[in-house]
Amino acid sequence: MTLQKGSTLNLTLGGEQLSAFFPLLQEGVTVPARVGSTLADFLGEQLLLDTDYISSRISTIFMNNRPVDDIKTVLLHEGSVVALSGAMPGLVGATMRSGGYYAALRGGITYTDSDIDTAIRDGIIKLKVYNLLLPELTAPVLKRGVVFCPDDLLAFFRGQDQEFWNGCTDVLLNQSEIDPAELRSDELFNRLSTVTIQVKFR
Amino acid sequence: MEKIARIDMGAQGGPRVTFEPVGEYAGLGGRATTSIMIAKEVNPLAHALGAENKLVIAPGMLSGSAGAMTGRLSVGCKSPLTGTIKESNAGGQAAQVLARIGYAAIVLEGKPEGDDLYKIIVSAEGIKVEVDNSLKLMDNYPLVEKLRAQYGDKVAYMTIGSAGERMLYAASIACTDPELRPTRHCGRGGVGAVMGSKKVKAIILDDAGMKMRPPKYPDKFRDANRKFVEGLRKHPVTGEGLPAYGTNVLTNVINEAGGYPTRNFRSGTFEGAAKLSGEAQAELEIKRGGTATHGCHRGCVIQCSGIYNDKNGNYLTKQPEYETVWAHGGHCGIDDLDVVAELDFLDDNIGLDTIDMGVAIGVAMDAGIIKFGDGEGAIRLMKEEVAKGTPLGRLLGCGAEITGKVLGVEKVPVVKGQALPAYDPRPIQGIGVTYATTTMGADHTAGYAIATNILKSGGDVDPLKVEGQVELSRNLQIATAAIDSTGMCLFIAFAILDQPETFQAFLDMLNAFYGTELTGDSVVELGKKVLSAERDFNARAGFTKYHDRLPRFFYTDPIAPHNQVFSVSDEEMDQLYNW
Repeated sequence: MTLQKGSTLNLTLGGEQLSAFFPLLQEGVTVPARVGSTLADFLGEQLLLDTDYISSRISTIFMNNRPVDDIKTVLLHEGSVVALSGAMPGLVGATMRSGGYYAALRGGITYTDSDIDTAIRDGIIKLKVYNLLLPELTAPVLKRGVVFCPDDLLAFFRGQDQEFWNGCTDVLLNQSEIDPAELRSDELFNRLSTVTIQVKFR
Repeated sequence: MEKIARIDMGAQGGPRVTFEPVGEYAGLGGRATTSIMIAKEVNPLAHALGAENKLVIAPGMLSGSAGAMTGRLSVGCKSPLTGTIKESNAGGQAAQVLARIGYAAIVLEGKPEGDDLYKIIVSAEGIKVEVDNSLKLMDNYPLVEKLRAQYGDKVAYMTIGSAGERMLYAASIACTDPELRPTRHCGRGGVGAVMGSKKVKAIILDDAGMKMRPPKYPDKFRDANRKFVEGLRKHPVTGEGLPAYGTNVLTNVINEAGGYPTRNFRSGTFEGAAKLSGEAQAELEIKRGGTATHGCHRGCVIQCSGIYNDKNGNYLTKQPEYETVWAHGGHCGIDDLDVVAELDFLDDNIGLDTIDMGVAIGVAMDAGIIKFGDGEGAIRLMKEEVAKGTPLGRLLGCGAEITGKVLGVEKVPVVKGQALPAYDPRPIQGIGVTYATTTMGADHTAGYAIATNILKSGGDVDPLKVEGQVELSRNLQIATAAIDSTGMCLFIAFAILDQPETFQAFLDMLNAFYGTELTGDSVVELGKKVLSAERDFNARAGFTKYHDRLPRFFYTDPIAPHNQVFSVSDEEMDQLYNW
């Protein structure tokens, strides 16, 4: 079997395999998003995160390397880079907090959106997740789906140890069951453009 | 803490110890004690390595008590690195032990003739000063091992390595942690060189027979301490982030903000940051049988330190701090945590400030001594040059400014001779105000105590207005000076910022301990008193407002990704000390 453009790969993994994805999320993963919608909409309506969770846990947010103060006013654009972090130590950590008391100390780099194109459409953004949020957001991000180029996905699978594969069950490619061992083979990945991986953790 | 010991190392016939009541220094502690004493007693024009300078060692106001987080020790003097007054503080066991023995301060004065090297033993029986030339040029780890064989494990050690003996301007004073490793350092400003100039190699603090300092109102103190600890534990920074990842959790975030100075401040992002991150570090530490959660002194509930093992699972060093990982990592273009950890060990062992050493090596890379990214080269510079005291090693060990001058580097990131820490002041302009104006030379911790919204030490500031930067920095510096005097770890500031009840518990601890009625205003006044004394000393040492500036390249060279320069005006910065 070969992958076609726009293929979808569904995995079921043990909860202990969650951390295998942490490095990917730190580096940033490509995720589908409704561009033109607000960051608040992305977190609440698309990632399905609770409002209280967003306000209490996601205290540091960046858009294209710029700290964000109000997620309700920031619009996603095609290719935007969004980074999410918990509360950070240090004065500079506090300075980066969304709407924090010390935001003035980094006023020159605070994100401001001058784009008035509000047409909402399907697109992709790059999402990074850091520190305390990794154990909490990896599952919802992967459940919704992450878009990979096949080389990166193959490299990721080949980098996993036996424990990962022991916990890997129910592999579906475009709704058809395949052997998990195929996920480490060139043959599966050598003719494709992109693949969306969705993971359910037991 | 009812007495002060003065040790005149230059007395005729050998060192002489005298004791006196705390007198005019009563009610102070930590930085308040060291700075007010230095400002009053040391001629600001004295040479920092001369007989006129003094080295004041002071535990904080609550050190030695049962209070949580009270283990910071302050060391003060005129700095050989900056020429300003200096307070450098560290964790470890020394503050708790010294306070329990009963000293508000130990003051090293004078300078001995000859080449003899001394150790000082402080206990309930008194203070002994002994010649011990067998310790000459020993570095901290073997030095402490040798001392432990004689004085055992129920003491705390303060030591200098070979850098301090050689009076290198970036030399530190090591304080042992609960496992008696010399991992906690009064790092900044060359305080180790001042100790070396007085020929004191080690101070052994033995509190045998002594008990914790009793509060005036024990029940109130216990209740306040409980609430204070609860506040620390429930806050996401002090209760989760720092215990899980340590301060290096900042690497990813500061890099994301474009404020991570890379390759001697040429860029604000580092492509290898994720490999150096606190998340990667914690995972590696746990995988190798170390730990990412460890306290630097007994009574610490935040536990932001850790144990970093080598590839074979053997202890290599304590968990390097964010600023250390940056200085030896991104600043030098190095993305290998094992290299950074080895450099951290070498700094601790030789006895050097990790920030000034890392920045000096980066400046040397800029000069072409070795290439950016050359981890093995950086280790070789430390082992073959600095540790052996070669001419190149000595100039590196004197910090970034001297390294830059000797090697002809134009862009040297220092203020008043002290290397900038790990936050670029162009994208994060507010930190630049603190770097430029602090009494200590570039210092991120000088404006760290993020409780000013509660203290309202300078009135209310609109957090989203750029114009508030100087005012915010002023408030931060005042609050920090006060907290540095209590013996409390600055990391309590996060819980205090967000939780007024935790700030109240902090005040209640002080009041229950001393029987005082301190308020937020009292804390502000203490901070102002300390800063005023420091500022006065610096003025008499010849420092003016024109020294309160960043190096010129921060005003002229934009940095990616934000392509900003530092733009807070001189006139604004000159308002910082107007109160």
